[in-house]
This record gives sequence, structure tokens and C-alpha cells, in this order.
Amino acid sequence: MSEVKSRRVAQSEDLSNVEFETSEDVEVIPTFDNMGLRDELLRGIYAYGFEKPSAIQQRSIKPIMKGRDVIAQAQSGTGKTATFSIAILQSLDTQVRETQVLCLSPTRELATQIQKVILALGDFMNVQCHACIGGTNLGEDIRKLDYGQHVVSGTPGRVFDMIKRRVLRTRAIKMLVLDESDEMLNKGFKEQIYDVYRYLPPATQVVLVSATLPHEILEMTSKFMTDPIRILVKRDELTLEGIKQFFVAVEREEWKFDTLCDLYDTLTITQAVIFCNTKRKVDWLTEKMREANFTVCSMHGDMPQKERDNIMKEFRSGQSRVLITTDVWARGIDVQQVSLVINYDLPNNRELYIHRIGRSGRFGRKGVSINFVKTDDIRILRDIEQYYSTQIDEMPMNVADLI
Amino acid sequence: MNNSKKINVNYSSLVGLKAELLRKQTEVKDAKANAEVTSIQSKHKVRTKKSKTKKVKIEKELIDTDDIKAHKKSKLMLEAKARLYENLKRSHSNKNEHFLVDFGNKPQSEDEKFDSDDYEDANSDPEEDWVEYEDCFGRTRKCLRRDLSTMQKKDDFVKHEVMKKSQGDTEVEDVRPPDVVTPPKEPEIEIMRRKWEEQTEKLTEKMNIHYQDILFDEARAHGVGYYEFSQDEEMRAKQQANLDALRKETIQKQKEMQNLKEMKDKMEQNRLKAARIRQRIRAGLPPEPTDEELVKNDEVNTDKMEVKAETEEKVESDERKIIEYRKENSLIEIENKIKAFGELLGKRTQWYEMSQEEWVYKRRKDRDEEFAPLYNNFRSSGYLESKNTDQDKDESSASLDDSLSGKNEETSESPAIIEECGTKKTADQLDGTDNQQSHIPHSETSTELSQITMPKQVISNADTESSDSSGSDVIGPMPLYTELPTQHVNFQQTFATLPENMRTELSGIDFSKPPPNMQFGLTSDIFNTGPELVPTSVPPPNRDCLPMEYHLPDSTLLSSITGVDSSKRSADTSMSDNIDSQEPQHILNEDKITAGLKYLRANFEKQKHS
Repeated sequence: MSEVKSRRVAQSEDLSNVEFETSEDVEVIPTFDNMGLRDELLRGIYAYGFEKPSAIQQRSIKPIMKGRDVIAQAQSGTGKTATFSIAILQSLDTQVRETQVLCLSPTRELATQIQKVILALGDFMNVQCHACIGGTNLGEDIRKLDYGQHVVSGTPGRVFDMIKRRVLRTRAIKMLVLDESDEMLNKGFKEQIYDVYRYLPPATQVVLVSATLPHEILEMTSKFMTDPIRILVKRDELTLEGIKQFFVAVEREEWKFDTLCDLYDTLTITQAVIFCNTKRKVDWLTEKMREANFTVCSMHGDMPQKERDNIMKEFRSGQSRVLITTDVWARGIDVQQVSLVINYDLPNNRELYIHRIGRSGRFGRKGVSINFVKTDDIRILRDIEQYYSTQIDEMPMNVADLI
Repeated sequence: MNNSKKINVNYSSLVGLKAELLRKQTEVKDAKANAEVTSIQSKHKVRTKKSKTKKVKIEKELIDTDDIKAHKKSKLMLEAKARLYENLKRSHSNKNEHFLVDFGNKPQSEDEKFDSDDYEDANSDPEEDWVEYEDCFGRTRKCLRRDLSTMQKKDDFVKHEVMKKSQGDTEVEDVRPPDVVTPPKEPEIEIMRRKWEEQTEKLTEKMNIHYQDILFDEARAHGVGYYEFSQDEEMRAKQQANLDALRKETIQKQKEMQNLKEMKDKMEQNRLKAARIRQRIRAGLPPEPTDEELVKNDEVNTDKMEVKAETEEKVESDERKIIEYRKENSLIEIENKIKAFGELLGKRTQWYEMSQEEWVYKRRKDRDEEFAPLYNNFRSSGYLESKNTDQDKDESSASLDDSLSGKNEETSESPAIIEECGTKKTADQLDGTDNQQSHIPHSETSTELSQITMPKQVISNADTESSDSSGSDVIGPMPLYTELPTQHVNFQQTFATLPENMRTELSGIDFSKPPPNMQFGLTSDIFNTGPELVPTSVPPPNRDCLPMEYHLPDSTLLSSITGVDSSKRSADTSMSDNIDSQEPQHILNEDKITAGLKYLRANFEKQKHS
């Protein structure tokens, strides 16, 4: 029934009025044991800390394993990366030392993180996964790819470069995964994705994964996917119960800084991420915080890659507790201990809001997000609140208790 | 921008442009005429100014009174600093080692500089005279050609000084770098960074990259099954091989355990089978359906029937364990034999268990006549009957008959005998504590005891008393206490011979003292009676020899106890009482007795079934 429906969807020209729904024949497998995974992979999964598959994992691992095109949507921090990583690892032939799966992500940090997850889950399989990202040594990249990698996780620019240089051989690729696919198919990346896509074998399986999948992106999928299985989430179910959302009303921009200083003790309870809308503002805020003797670290896209790597390592290891950053950090980055997100500036679109607050409350943990709003921003916040049918209250005094 | 927007050109604007051009050219010439050094300095100034303006732009909104205050403060500090420098300069001494500036030379060089500036202004073409050189810190510097030698000398001196200092104490150099780096980093982070850098360097050479290589001390909670493999490839392979071996071992162990469990299940199954067969035998059911049932039950392992049987099984005693390992064939054989024997006798086809009363009756018949109680001397109430001598004779003749035709009698009561054989067997094998036959050994042992150990007089008394219980107010049941009197007599006699004061002391004490204690323990264990009952076992003749102080308070106590006891016992052996009371009248009527027994049997079985 749903297949017929989706085929009809694929054929029709104007999709703007079609409502996309989760496919009806999606099987739910309640345990990893019943998924028919190989033994080494199962051990890797349990070793990584997963015990029971999350809703998205229960539904989408099997179809991806079977070779179907899949569009998978799930709330932030519910194990999407692990979902396609498990499916990728299951479909690999580790005896063949060629790139069999290509995984593209919008940021270098996310690509590195995916590499890490694949290596972790495939630890007992001795899988080879390479992070092919910009800002790194080209020679080293070439050497690593030449050596033979089962999976390549990268950013579109460098991957395309490697394909053009014929260092990254695409003939054995059977699966393309686009993590944060709505971002990847946005204006900035779309061309690059299509460039890469053209070099892949014609029968390549395509998997799209994201927490947010706007309608226009779903419309686009018919161009490069065949009869995809859709696992979608309605937008009023997209925010997590575990992440409490608050706002602090400030009259003037300058007051935001004072509010942040007041909150600093709360920030350092575990780890916190502060989002600004521009790199310059990140630099400025970092400088000001340091002047006021607060220990913070910062990261944005204009920093050299080496510095970015170092900041990531510092933050992941817990050496630093407060990170001031831009939207480069908004999507996909998973640091377990982050329990507080502050939107120093409100995000530029609704999707980014979901992704930003999703940096906290990872895999069932509790999280708190605090939005700093000027009087004219409250309208935007109310719009977000309404759009996702969620609740954003004024920040209570005991916010520290909620972390 | 230029392409899109065309500029309107007319004469006035062209003239204006030319004038502007000329003005700029003259300015450039003027600038060239000025010293290069100053121009460089000014460039620097411009740069700093630019960056400052940038900052100002950003911070514009945030400047307020605090900033002004800070500014004032810094100004004051700078003024103070200037004064200090002035003092140092004037003093021309450089005794303080902490100052990096050579104040002894500084004023001189500054004077020279001023001189040179003046000189430069006076002389033409300064560009040729300027020479670049590198000082000991690696900085490129400029000076006039003629000053080069002096400058180099100075530089050498500085170099010498620096070397000396660095050899002397490295503190100065260590302190300097953190001042230079803008964000003051914590040392721990620095250590970590260095570590990570080393790790990444190693990774560039390593071909096989694994999770542990890129973990970089990430604070992540892994599952319990997480194994941190070594980053060394060989070590990793070894660890994985080890882990695989362990895994295989675990799987094998699990298999073994499974096998063991299956074996146990099978054994239990067999046990249940045996139990069912026995039950069928006891119930007198034919064995054929049992076999079929067993087969069925074997096929269907988990059955409700089985669960029931299991619970029954648990209740069963050790005896079962012995039988359960026998093959079912042997059990069936036995059953068949019993059946055949029963058929041969033509009495009862059904094998059954004797009741307590039947058993007692049978045993009494087996008893040596000489030691048997004279039932005929008693009425149903238990009083001695002296009148009916005829009946006595009848009784004695009957008993004689019994003894004479012992074999026949026995055969006539075939089921009982068969039963006896069976029970005897089991009783021999076991302790005789079987639930269903618990009473039989009592009577057996009691009779044996009475036959072997007791003096005649005592026995006759005991027996006469025990033949009835409900009527007597003092004496306990025969089978219970027959073995006691002899010892009690002894004890009480010794008691009587004790001195007065001791007697009074002992009178309060119970008789459960060392010598008879063992016996008491035995009897009380067997008959479930407390030690308080001991006095009841004292036979009437002995009571005469008891001292008064013991006797008097005891009689009331005794009666109360026996009352309780007799009621208890009557509940236990009410049926035997009935038989006993009926005996004198129908002693010869064997058929009636068997009919009664049948009736009792039926009752018994009814109870059992319910």
C-alpha cells in the first residue's frame, strides 16, 4: 500500500501538496539480537553501551541492511548515527579492501565523529574507516585512501576532490549516506552532493538521515532515490521531553553578557555549549568572558583545523567545560556530558533551534536549554514554540536543579 | 561596482582630479624626503590604530564609566612608571640584575640616536647609509653603516650577557612565554595537547586505525562489554585472540550446562514415571494404561499431570528413591505376581493396604497365647469380668483353634499376610517411619518388648489394663507404655530408699532423669507424648510402693493427664476400641469380622480418594 503510494509520489510532478508519511510496512525489531547482525558487530554494539535499540534503530536498521533506500528521521540524540553505522557495518565485506560505503556530513567535526562511531561499533570486526575532511594534510589523505578503507566518512569538498584525483575509487561503493541530509541538500551543499553522486555506481543505495526534514527536502528526494522507505516524525513530536526549554528576557543586548556571567556557575555543573550567530560574536564573547576571568573555550569555522581539532578533544575529554561556538556545532555533535545549551542569539531558522537544543540530553539523558531573548525576539521564540507544539517557559531560579 | 555604475565625466571634474593628483604627488615627495625609520614607525602606528578602531567599533556600545576609570588608572600607572625610568636613567647605574634594560647604556644610545637623526636631516641621501643587520635575538634591525661596528659590538655584549643568564637560571625564560601567549592556558590542557599531538603524529605512520587510536581521552561511558584494545597492532591481535578463546570456552561451558540440565530433566522424568507406577499399584489399578500414559507423558514433557505428580513426589520419603531406579518392568512383574496370588486365593483380586486395626488384629493373633491378654476377662468398658466362665472357655477354645489352625487362618486372611510381607520388607529396609504405616512398628516393638523384657506379673497387669482404655481412669494405653514399667519400678524403688529430705527435694522433679531418659526420649519420640505423661505409665501394683508425698499430689494430676491422654488416644484408635469391644460377642464369627474389615477398608479408600 505504502509502496504504491510512494511510487505515485515519485511519479507525480508537483509534490508541494503531498503529505509525506511514515511507510506502513515498517517492521519493528525490539532487540539487537533479533536483527540478524553478525556476532562481532553485536559485541561491538553492546561494548559501545547500547543495550536496547531506540525507536529509530528498531525500525530503520533492517531496511537499510536489506539494501532499500531509506529516509530516516528521529529526534536529536536518539541514535541516528548508530543506526546507519550498524547497518553499514552489517553490509560490509571486510575481506574486500575497497571503499564500500560513503558517508557525507556537513562539518568536519561531524565526519570525524561518524568515523569514530563506526570504528567503535566495528571494533571487533577490525573495520577500516577514514575521515576524509578538509583542512588536513592532502598527502596523508591520499596515502590512507590508497591503503584501502571500507568506509569513508567525509565532507563533500574533500571527498569530491579525492574522487576527481581518482584516489577515492567509487566502483565498489554500494551505499551513500547523507547525515544531516536536510543541510546537505540545502543550497550551500546541494551542488557538491550532486557532483559526488554523479561519480557513484548507478545502483548505489541512498540513505538520508536527519532530525529535521522539511517538506522541500522530501520533495527533492524523488530525484535520486528509488522507492524509499520513510520513517518520519511529526514536527509536534520532534522536541524531546527530556530537554527542558527556557528563555530569559533581556531589554538590551549588553544585558545578555551579565546574564551569562550570572549563569556561569550553572554552566560548569557539567558541560555547556553557548551558541552565537556569527564567528565575530563568538570571538568577542570569548574575549569578554576571559577578561571577566571566566574559563571558556571557543570554536568556529575560521579557526585553523588543528585548533578546531584541539578544542574538540579538550571539550570531549572534559578538560574544558564551557564552549562558545557557532552553528558549526549545531548539528550532530555528540558529547555525552553536555546538559546545558544557551542560545546567546536565537537561531536563524526553526530547524537550527531543534539541532542546537539537541546538543544536550543525549540518548535519554536530561538536558536544559536557555534562550536569551530581547523584547523583539520573543515573537520569534513564540513562533518556534508554536511550530513544534512545545513549551518554552521563563527560566526559573532553580534552573541548576534541572541539570 | 565600477562596471555597473558609470561615472559622469565633465571638464570641471577633470580639472579637480588633476589638482588632486598634483597635491598627492607633492605629498609623496615630502614623505620621501623624510626619514625611512619614522615612516616605518608611523606605519606601525597606523596598523595599531586600525585594529584599535576595529575594537572600538565592536565595543563602542559597551564603553561606559568603568572604562574611563580604567583608563585613568592606567594613565597614572604609566606616569609612575615613567618617573621610575627617569630615575634609573639618571642614576646611570645597573646594579639591579632583575632589569632587562641596560640603563647604564640606554641614555647614551638615545643621545646617539638623537644625534644621528639630526645628522640625517642635515645630510642628503640617507637611503644609502642605512644597513640592515640581524641581532642576537634573530630580529632584523637597521642602522647607519658607520654605526654598524658599534652596534655589532653592543649586540655581542648582549648575547654574552644573555647566554650567561640562561646558564645561570632558566626561570626568566620560563616566565616569559605565558606572558606572550594571549589566552592564559592551564598547564593540564597543555600537557594533554602535547600528548594528543604525539598521538596524531603516530597515527600518520600507522595504517590500521582503530577506535582506541582516535579516542583521545574522550569522557564517554561505554558498555560493560567494552574492551580497550591496545593501540599496538600486535598486542591488539593477541588480545582479540584471547577474547575469542574466552568466548569459545564460554560457549562450550554453556553447552555442557545445557546437556547436564537435559540429563537432570530426564532423570526426573524417570523418577516421576516410577512414582506414577507405584501409585497405580497402590490404588490397585491395572498396569497397562499406566504404560500408555507414561509413553504419552514422555512425549509431552510439560504436562499438568506431571506438575501434580511432582508435588506428590516431593512429599514422598527416601523409600521411593530406592524404588525409582528400578526398571518399570520389575515393578509391573511384582504387581502381576501379587495379582496372580490374589486370584489364586480367590478372595480379593485387589491388592490393598491394611488399616491399623486390621494390622493390630492380625498381630494379636500371631502372638504367643501365653503372653496374650485375656480379652474374655474384660467387658467392653474395660472392667474385669469374673462371671462368664463359659464365655471364657469359649474364648480360650477359640484362641486355641486359632493357634491350631494357624496356617489356615492366616491363609484365609491372605491380603493381610501379603500386605504384611510387603510392609515388613519396607520396614526392614527403612526406619519404619513411613507415613502410612506409622502405627505398625509401634505395636510390633511394643509387643516384642512385652514378650522379651517384661516380668510376667507386670505384663499381665499392663495387658489387662491396656486391653481397654476408655474406661480406666489411671492407666495409659497398652502399646504405649508397656516397655516402661520395669525401669520405673527400679527407679521408684531407689527413690523410695532415698533419705527423706532428698525425697522431698526430688519429689518436685520430673522422672525424666538420666537412666530412664533414653527410654523416655524413645517413647516420646515415637508416640508424640510429652515427658509429663511418664507417671501415667506407672502400673497399679507399683503405686503401692510409692511414698505418700509423691503419691498424693500425683493422683489428681495423673487423672487429668490420663483424661487428656485417653481422649487423644480414643481419637487415634477409636476403631480398634470398637473392634475390641465387639470381640467377645463375635469372636467366632470370622465372616462378620472380615465384613467389618471390608467396610473399614472401603471407608479408608474413600478417604484416600477424596
